[in-house]
Amino acid sequence: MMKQIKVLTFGAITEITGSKNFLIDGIDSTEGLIHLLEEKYPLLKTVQYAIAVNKEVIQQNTILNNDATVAILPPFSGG
Amino acid sequence: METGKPKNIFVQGPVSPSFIADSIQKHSTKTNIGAHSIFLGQVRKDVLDGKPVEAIEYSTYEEMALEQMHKIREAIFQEYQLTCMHVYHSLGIVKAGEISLFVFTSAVHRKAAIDACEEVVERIKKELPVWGKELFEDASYQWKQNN
Repeated sequence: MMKQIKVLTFGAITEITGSKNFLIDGIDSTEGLIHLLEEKYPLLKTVQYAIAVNKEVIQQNTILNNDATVAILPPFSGG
Repeated sequence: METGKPKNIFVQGPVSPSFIADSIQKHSTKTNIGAHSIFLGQVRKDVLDGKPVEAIEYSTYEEMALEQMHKIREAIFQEYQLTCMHVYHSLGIVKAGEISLFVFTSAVHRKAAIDACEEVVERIKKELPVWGKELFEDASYQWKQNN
């Protein structure tokens, strides 16, 4: 079965992708996902963001299980 | 008493001064408390390229923010001898001059209350997935950056 993952975007990143959430098929890792997204949305290469897999910020390439939720997070500015 | 499930910290719009006053009042029955420390974040009318900020519109990744806040809470209670701790953060539009963050820590003695309050504020700014969009009068905007 082909893996399906859910992608969430926020703030300035949503303005680049044009969508707050979408599904992507056939991706195995966060590196693969980023590669695909940066190809589709070249502006992503020009901005800062962090990646969270299932609500945990990751620092290195991470294997994605089926149904994983990956969030693309611009720099936090709460408070 | 302060552990368990993640609590909601988000409120729509600004935190009102009367809500803050009520929160203080509610602690009068907890007579083991000797010190409260309160941090209030207020939306500043920064001027960017000659245009004053009229308001900030806050958004969040709520599920992740509440889990992260829960972890911060647990760590703070491990580190400091606190009696209680309350955090409220605005979502949606908060005008310049209004309150968008209310952190309230209470302890038997002042040092724990003050130090815990400071650490919570720093961690909120650094670790919570919350974004502020600075809105200008002419309907343009800019994504806020934390220093």
